[in-house]
Amino acid sequence: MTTLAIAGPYAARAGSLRVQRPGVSDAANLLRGVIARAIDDFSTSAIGQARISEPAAALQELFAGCNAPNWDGEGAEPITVATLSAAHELLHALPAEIPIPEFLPEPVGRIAFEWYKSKHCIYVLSIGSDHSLEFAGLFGRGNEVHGKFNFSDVLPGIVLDHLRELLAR
Amino acid sequence: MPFDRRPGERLTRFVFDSGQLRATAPRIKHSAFMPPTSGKLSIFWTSDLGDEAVWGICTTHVAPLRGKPVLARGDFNSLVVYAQDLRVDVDGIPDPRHANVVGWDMSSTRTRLQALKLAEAAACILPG
Repeated sequence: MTTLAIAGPYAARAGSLRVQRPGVSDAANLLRGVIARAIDDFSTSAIGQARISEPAAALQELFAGCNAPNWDGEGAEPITVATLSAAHELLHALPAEIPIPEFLPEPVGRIAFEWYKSKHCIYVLSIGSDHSLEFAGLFGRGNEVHGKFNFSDVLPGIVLDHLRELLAR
Repeated sequence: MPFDRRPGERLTRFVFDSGQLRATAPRIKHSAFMPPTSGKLSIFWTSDLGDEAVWGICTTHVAPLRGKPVLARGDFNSLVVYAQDLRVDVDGIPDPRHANVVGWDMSSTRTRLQALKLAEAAACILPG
């Protein structure tokens, strides 16, 4: 059976679908077309604009401002195309129940996704060009976490637990 | 004047990037406190300085290097730095009040948590 994985920029059109095991049958091609049209329709809908196109544009804007060495005037590493691509994939992996975060460039050349509730309640996911996913969070006084995963298309369960915990506060 | 002559010194980090500011609060985001790859987070020791003198340091020494206007500053206490197992190294260059927050383990994910804690503690002050 053909397996499709949505990858690449969030404002994806049919051409940016990555086919993990390309199907050769008419049914596989039909399925690919249906999914591509569904993504296209969604990304141009009102919800899709908020959920897909606008965050993707924000990531592109971040990249444009931080893709040269020393973009912060203090020796920051550039945000690379590989890091941007990984950030788009991470954006794809966020379930619909999770609000779209703010995107921040980090001086070590990574892109951070930040969810903020208060100065004591904040969660940051940071992705690098190698798909390493680092997290750090404050959940009120005395409750803090940090750690690291390798990201491969699916958000680790512990990260989802952290985000749900933050949103529940 | 010796640093750390009393428990806790005021330290200041200047912010020039609007993406490092949370306008609604206002607060300074953790990314402003993330160390560069050198492991030296540039700050100034501003204890006993009035508001005008603090902004004057920025105007003289920092803004010209950045080539853009300062948007805010984050004031925080050196005790917060020590609580994160970090240190303050007063190097006096280019100003006797210049220092760096050092002691980061750049290979550890704790670095981001430490930056979050500094941001949590920092008071965001906008230019007059």
